[in-house]
Amino acid sequence: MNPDELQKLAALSRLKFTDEQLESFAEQFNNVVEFVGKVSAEDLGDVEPMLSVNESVNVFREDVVGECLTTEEALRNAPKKNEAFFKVPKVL
Amino acid sequence: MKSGYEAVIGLEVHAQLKTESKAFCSCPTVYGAQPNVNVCPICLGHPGTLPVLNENLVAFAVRMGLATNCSIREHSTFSRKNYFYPDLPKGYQISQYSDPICYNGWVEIETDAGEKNIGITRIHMEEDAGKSIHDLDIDTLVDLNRSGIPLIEIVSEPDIRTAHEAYQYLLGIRQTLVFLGICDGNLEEGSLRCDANVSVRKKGDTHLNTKSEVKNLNSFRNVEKAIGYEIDRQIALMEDGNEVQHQTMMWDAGSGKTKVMRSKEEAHDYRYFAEPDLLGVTVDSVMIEKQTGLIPELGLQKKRRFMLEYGLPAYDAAILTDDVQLALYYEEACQALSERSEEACKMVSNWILTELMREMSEKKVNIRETGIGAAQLASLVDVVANGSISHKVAKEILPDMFGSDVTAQQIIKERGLEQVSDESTIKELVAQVLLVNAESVEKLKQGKTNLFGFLVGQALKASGGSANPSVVCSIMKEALEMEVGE
Repeated sequence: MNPDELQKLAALSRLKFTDEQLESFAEQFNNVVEFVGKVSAEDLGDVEPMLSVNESVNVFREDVVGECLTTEEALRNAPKKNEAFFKVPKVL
Repeated sequence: MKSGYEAVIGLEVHAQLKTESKAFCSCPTVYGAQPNVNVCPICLGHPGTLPVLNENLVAFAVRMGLATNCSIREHSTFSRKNYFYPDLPKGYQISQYSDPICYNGWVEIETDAGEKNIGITRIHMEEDAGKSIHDLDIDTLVDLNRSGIPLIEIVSEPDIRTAHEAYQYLLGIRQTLVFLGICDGNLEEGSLRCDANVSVRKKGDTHLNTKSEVKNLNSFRNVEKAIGYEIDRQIALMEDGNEVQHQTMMWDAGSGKTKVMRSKEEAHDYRYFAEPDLLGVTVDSVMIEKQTGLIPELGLQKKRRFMLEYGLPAYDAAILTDDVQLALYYEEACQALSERSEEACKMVSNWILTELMREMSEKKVNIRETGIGAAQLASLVDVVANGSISHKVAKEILPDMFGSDVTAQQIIKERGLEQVSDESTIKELVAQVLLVNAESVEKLKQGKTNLFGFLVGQALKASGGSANPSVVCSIMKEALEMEVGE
């Protein structure tokens, strides 16, 4: 991964880095990717990918309404609010 | 569409499922609540919370898949679709990626050129995002009531060729969702949403040209208009030797145009990966059997049966079967007819399509809320069919049946409205009238034939409007001819 690719990833995550940070993060990323790459080098043609260590399926919740937060509770941690709404910088 | 070209259209339809609670938490899904009341730490995306799958999200998705001839995947999983937007508090949407629960289906539509099958690529389960309100000048406001409401996304194959076919397809999908009882199907309120992928090519070409994606198709009329506009725009570009850009277009109903929303150059990179907080879903034969059993007779099937069984024209059958309640009401009314003839069944349809549907739209109620039961309507058709009252009188007494449980027979009896068709009674009546109006009879004999109508009118008047006009007419004619003969 080069700094340009990292820059794109950062933009997608709405993060801003300096050039020095990009350089150093790119290096760290590459270490991780290289490490994981060792797994790819193995011949795993017959092995099903394991998405979870828990192999049970169909862990459902019955379709029943439970309790919600109050609006006041829901907005308690919001940096900005407007009456009952979360307020965020203009996006459109 | 300009000749020599054809459009290649695929639709992506998002349907909000009518579950009681959200997809991954137990908050209610009701529409139109005060902002941020149906929220909890899970759908607010608080750190450390875990989603638990609503069993009905799976059940409803499977039901829709079966109803649209899809294969049902035995084992499927959830993935995270990552993007940053203020109304998506987790920073990702829980969705399905490479293993959607339903795939490879088809639905039949009726087009001007006959029947046609439109392929369904996939149906997958996901959650809705919250709602951003941009009306303010400076800030955007976010309501997270909708966050986590279960959706299915139904993706069609690019089998659709015209804006009208797209409209028909969407109508069919909507009808199926509503008949299955899993979605309200309301485009205006957003419980059904539609995006269209549109490209055009020279007729006969087999390759696909660059497509654009059209969003904001928030009514059936707009779906057809927007796609039609986009097709024409792309053809015009090609005619001028320009290339169609890979863009997301926004339909603006006000100006009747599509506008560039974003270019795909800056396209999202969703970085899908397996959702580690949810386990897989296995659909076994028991679930499939159960969901199959919950599929009622669907739209086109019902329409065709109505045409066959009740002898209805396609127009009537289409309207009656577009609304489950209406269809049920119609069948109940026909069932209650004392004599079920094709004419009587058509009369039932006429009453529903005119008087009752007018009542429904004026009062904004459904057929059950109009206040006239199916059996009552049948009684009204009965008395017109057997000649007890004329259609005109039937129309007059209909308003008195709304909100009561009286039958037409009861009203007629109460008010002595019964049309007299008994010949001997009418003969007597006619004789009386001819006697009283001897002068007119004389003039009529001398050639003033237009007096015949006058005499019939006198007879009807003398009966207080209860005499059957056609019987009066024929008896009057008979009587006069007799007199002429003498």
